Amino acid sequence: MDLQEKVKSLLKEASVYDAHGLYKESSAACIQADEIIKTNAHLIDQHKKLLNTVSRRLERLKKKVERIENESVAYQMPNVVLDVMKNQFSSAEDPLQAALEGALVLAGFEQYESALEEFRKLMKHRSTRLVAAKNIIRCHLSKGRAAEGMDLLRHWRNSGLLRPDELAELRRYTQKFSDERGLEMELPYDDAAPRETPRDALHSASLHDRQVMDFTSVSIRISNDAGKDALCEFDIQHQSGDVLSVLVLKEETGAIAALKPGAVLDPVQCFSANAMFSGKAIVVENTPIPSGAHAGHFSIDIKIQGI
Amino acid sequence: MANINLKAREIEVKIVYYGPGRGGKTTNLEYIFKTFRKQVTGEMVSTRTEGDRTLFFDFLPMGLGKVKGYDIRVQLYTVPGQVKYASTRKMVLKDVDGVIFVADSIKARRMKNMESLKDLHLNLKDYGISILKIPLVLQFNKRDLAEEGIPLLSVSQMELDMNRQLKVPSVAASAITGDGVGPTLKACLKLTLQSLKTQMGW
Repeated sequence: MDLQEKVKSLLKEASVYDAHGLYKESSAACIQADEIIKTNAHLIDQHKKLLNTVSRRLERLKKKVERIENESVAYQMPNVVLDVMKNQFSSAEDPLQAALEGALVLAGFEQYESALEEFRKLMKHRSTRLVAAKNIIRCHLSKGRAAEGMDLLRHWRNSGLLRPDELAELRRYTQKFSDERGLEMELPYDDAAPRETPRDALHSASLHDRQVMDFTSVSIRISNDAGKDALCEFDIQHQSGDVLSVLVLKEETGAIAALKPGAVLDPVQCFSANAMFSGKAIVVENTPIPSGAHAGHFSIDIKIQGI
Repeated sequence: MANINLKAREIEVKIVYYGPGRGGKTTNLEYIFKTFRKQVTGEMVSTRTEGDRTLFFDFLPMGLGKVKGYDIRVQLYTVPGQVKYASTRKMVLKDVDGVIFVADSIKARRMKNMESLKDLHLNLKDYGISILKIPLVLQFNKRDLAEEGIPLLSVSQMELDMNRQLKVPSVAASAITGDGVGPTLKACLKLTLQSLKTQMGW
């Protein structure tokens, strides 16, 4: 191919790459053409005009590359996109759990303002309050609004919305989050951290970051009044990561007494839709249900520690 | 594994279009949206930047009708190809049932193809999925550029680069004209449904 043709072909290539958004490849083709023209100026017609064209094109491409490299990722997406994020990336059947998963997904996609709206709603529910609080702090810190985050920590502490152990856990989380990102800030309170409770153990693991199989029921060996072991099976009412909530009827006094927070269940058998797994678990909460259809019965949370 | 609702007798399958940036993943979805109107069950949702690059994902819902009494719903996603969106790519890949890897046939993009395939392998591995086991189809896109005199990788070179160990179906395509887009999706759906049948014990 003669030089004139070679240059023409390279410039055409550059145009196609440009049209495909491949700006670096387009620049590379332009630079190649530029070098050929410069070293063979005496052989190429109108070489000055060509060099000017190439130079202008390279300048345009440079700007395009810079624009992409400096492009902000902090876009606030329209509702139709937020709905796909919330609804398609969460799989929980329980509405509250689905709302929590959806909010976590929004935060994962850096849609912090929309995530904050969802987490604020989740603060109203006891079961999601601590996770929501942590993620509200996460969103504010990620947006560079440390002061707002610290104000909220103070507010939650003074309002009594969170228990002392939850406040301590929230402070630990905030400290860890800011340390990991090299943020310098003074946290507003420094209560003596209470002894780690099973509830703390439950939240210290990033439950919602992990992929855990959905179980339908668990089977636990419990001693009856006669001192004999009996295998009791409980349907799972709700699952949040590796924490399973089971409903225990108030009449099942032996189970209620045995499943105290901190009790280690080894072995525990977990049943999914098509398999059974044997493992170890710890009881993290045992609370009477105050209202609703199951009022008076007990909600017991167990955390699976290994399968 | 696919999302199976036994009560409603529905199965939701997630197919992800993966590959290097500007390789034609969104163009594949746009063509499907325009062409397979009967199967498409909703609007295509895109998240593009001003520079026309995918920021989070594109999403397109489809329906395949019934298999063994179950309504099969398919969700097609693309990932953002740019290297800086690594965490988003991983999020979109969560719970994936089948993957279409859209490789760029342009010679100058050879390394980008291989880097992206390695990225797919690592992200799947993080979810406990082997790239050798997941339903996967390779698409060698932009074959039409040969007519414009653009230097392209030969199909045999692309097979050698990307499919030597995988040994998965591959389709030469031009997403912009639609050539090979349907066959790529069909090949992936076929593999995904076969895998689903095995999982369901059908």
